[in-house]
Amino acid sequence: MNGTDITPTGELPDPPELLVPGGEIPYPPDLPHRFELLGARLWLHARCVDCGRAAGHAEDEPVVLASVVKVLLVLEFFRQAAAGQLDPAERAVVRAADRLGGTGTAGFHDDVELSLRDLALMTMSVSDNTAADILFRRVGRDTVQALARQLGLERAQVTGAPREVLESMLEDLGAADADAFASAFAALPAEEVHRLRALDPARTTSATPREMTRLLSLVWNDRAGAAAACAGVRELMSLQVNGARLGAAFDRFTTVAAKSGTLPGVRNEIGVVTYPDGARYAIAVFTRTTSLSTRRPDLDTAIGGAGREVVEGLRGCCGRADLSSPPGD
Amino acid sequence: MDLLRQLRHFTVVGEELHFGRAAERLGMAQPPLSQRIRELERELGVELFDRSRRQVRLTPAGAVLLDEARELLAGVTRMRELVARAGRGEYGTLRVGVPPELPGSVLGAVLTEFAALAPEVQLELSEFTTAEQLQLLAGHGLDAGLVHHPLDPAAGLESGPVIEPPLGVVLPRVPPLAGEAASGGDITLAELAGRALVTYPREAAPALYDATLAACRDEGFHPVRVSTARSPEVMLGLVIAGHGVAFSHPAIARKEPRVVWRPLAPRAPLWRLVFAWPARAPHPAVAPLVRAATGILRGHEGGALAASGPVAEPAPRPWNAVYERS
Repeated sequence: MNGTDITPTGELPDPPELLVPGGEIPYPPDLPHRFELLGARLWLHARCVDCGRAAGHAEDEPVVLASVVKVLLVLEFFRQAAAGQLDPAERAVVRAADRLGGTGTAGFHDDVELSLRDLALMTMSVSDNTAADILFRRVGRDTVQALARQLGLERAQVTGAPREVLESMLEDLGAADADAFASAFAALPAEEVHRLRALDPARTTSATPREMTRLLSLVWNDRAGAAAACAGVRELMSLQVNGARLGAAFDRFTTVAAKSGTLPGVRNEIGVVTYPDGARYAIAVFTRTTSLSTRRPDLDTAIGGAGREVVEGLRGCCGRADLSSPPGD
Repeated sequence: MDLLRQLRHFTVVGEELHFGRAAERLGMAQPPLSQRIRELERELGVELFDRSRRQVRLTPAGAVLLDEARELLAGVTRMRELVARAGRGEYGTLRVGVPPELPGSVLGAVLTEFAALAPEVQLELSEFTTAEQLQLLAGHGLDAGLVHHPLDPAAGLESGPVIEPPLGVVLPRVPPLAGEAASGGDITLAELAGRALVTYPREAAPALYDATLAACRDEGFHPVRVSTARSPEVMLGLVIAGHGVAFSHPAIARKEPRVVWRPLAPRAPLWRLVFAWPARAPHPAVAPLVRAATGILRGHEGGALAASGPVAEPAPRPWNAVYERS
């Protein structure tokens, strides 16, 4: 079954999982405490993409994904493209009503036409919410949820595109339009912001850290879809512009492919680091703060640092050097 | 005589093995209870209880009847519940007609929503044109149907709210239309001048067919040729092959990357749908179906923000408000 992941029954082969006797390696024990000192709670999971050895903290609790969900979206996009269900060069127009603010086309002043694959590029490289909205519309919200199930992400729920997250906030605030929302949101006490559906893992797009490293392991082993689809996701994750989190924590000889997720009080990043010796580790770091600032360079640094410390604990796990025959094949 | 009531009395006596306690449980006096049991024994031609000793005992025939009666009474209770639920539209089979052009994704969403509202109602879906459905509804061959609006008031049908799915035009991707339309803008019927039209056969929905062609002509689009297709697949095939443009819901055209779908500018033909059902003795599950379907068919493609129209340029954009919070 070269290039495809799905057996005739629709089952997906598991990624390598905990082949090392002794199970999980303890994460640095004071890590959660160090995040507490920064006013943050931590959820973390890291696993070797090749042998499956892993370490984590609260890794099975559901967390708000925020823009991290875009990895699933873009994977579904590439899978449909590989299956001939859509043409990646198909053109889409980003109109005024689509542009809800933020980075990329979401913040453009004028209508712009671009291909679906460039929407995917904008979605991943600068976390463009409008590009993601249009891609969601094209590939289907239900298909992204179905993909998560198909890949064995049992807890993952996809409640909609970024637009739906925003709509839930407008609804929760009872805001009639964008203008009313902007002023209402700015004046909202922090504890009420935390009560928004968009910040409740039970009622918005969410998954567990362990599921996210599973997803990355599947993508990095060409098991999350056709090889071309997995390669597409890997390439776009390597093009993320935000290098402040995992990207800043590793030296220039280590490549980092990642996707961030940010909402008020939420700071996340998932990614895969590849060392010069070929060892590859999937990392998922999720944090929540009571403060709502969306500018927290200290926390960005801590997120990267946590990822690196945990991975350093895993280093040498499978003594791999030979990339030509990935285990499990 | 009421066999079911007799059997109920009998099972209580059979369980208590004491006429006094059984009568108490049934809230009646003992003599009429004994009389009922005697009547039952006469009816069946057997002794059910051995009353020869101090203690009442079941005869072998009585023991068999106790098992049978319990089963029968449980069956009757179940039957009553099911009938009551069927009466409330919560159980049974609902025969529904849908037009062949209904997009699969929309239909799937309707079915999912309905299954959640009425999990024990079996939907029996069949594809029929509007004309076919109207005929079946008149003869109670269907319980409900999704048909093109408007309905003939004399048809003896009731209908739900009017649903107006987004209607646009399907064009081959190449060659693109000239000018603004090629970049994804709305298309007016006038811009289609000189093209051929692919549409559903007139007999599928005669009133709609005539209204569509009239709307085209009124706006200056006189199709050079009209081809017909019953299914969306054939319609797409004809469009790809250059046999003309077609009107459709966007979900149909989006299955096929070789065509483009463009919204139609105002003053385009309207393809409105309604759920219709026989006015006389309607199936009780029609109401939840119409509720589920109307919500989905109206909500498909774009939510609250989409309906609020373009964001005025100077207005702060909502994502900026979220990200700039500090």
